[in-house]
Amino acid sequence: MTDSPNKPLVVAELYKTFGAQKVLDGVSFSVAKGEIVYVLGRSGTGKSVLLRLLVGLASPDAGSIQINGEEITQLGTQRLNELRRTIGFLFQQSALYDSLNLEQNVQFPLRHLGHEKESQRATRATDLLASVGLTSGLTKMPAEISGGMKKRVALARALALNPTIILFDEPTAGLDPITAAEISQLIVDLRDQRGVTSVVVTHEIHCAKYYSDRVLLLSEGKIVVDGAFTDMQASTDAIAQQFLTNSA
Amino acid sequence: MPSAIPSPLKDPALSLLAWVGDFGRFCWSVVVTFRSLPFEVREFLRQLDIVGSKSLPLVALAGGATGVVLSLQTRDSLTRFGAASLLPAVIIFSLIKETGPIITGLVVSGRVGAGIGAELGSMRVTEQIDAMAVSGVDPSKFLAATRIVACVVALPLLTLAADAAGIIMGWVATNLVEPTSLRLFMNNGLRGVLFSDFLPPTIKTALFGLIIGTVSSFVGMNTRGGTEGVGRSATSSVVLSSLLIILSDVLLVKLITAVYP
Repeated sequence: MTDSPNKPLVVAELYKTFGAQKVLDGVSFSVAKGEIVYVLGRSGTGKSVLLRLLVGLASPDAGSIQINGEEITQLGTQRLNELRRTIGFLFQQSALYDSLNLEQNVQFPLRHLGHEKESQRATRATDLLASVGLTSGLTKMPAEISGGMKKRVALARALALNPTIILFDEPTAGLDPITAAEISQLIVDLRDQRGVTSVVVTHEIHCAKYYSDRVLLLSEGKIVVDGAFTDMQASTDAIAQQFLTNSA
Repeated sequence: MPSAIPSPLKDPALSLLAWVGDFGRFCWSVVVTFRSLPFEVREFLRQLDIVGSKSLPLVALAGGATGVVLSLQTRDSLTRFGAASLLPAVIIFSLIKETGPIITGLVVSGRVGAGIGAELGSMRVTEQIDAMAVSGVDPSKFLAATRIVACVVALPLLTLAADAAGIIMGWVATNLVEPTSLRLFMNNGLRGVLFSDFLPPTIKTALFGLIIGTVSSFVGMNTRGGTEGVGRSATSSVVLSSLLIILSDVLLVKLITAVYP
């Protein structure tokens, strides 16, 4: 275990291949407490794979991932599950439980980890949903709501266990620009109000420009830009320039 | 440096071995969940309702139909050999010793196996199982263990229902051809029946439940390939469960015959 109180997330020399395809090729970075890091890159460059590795949903071929000072690649299932309770994860398709209504979705982690009494859980779920801008229709089923609402509910569910780190997989994909901006602002609010550390995988370069503290640009399994958005703008890397030019 | 990943297994024998290995690992991951309390009682009861009460009408119908068929088919043969009075015993023996358990196993495998395979498959491809895992809830414990235990508990109970429906409908069919009171039918039928004729075949269906729950959960939780994959999982769950039930029945009948000659 490493003592790194100001670096809740440290990744070193991470490798991952699928068959002959080298997805991550020695990726290293760290994220400071309360920092919002946007991970950019073309489709298929391993951004989502990186997030799955960070939360132990997949295993790297080699390399180290430390969450709050603990090496997660070495953990057994039980300890990994305990550690996961400090990490929130917002999935690209929201991944709401389709047999549960919105309120029950948010209550799910609380109920199954034995948190609080039923009435307290219900109040907490309502508060969490209110904090992401949802105050009505809480008994609707996931199939009955829009994509933007699903993202909000998924975010409320990710917040249920008071995580210190939240990983976002394409949080604004498929949303209109206004809703996308609202979701991006929520990420900033989480940092300001709760001190949450965020890693956001996205294609939306505008969101990265206005809401990130730092950007990582992945290309061919390597990080080619690691710095503020202005550093990416100043970069001479061809991929970085293509990204900026084609998004303008 | 990254370790080399072997190329995809092309050899069917190796693929089968890999499947068996994955299945073994899955079974172990479910077994170890019983070490950590509390058991998911609420979800277990919900699954017991889905597997048990909701399968009851179908199982009873299948058992009843089997009783009628047994009555209609054996009556003619027994009459030819002058043994028509043995009809109740033939129906009851056949139902409790073999037909009831195997019919129950196959009917539940079709209904519940497909349901578990499709439900868990759908949860896999929509990342709901991953969402559960990252919130610190063990999917093997919450999704698989509860379904497997529900199947193990429900199958013997459903077999009793199939046996009962079969015997009643067997009597109804018999009564329509040759009026007989239910009491006389039961007295004749149960005269030679021992507990060893009834208990082991009924309890063996717990193993059928174990097969249905484990195979369907494994197939569902390892679904790949979107909605097409979900369809494949539902089909595979039924086919594999049914096949394994029939194969295991051969072994169990042999074992029961050896223990209770």
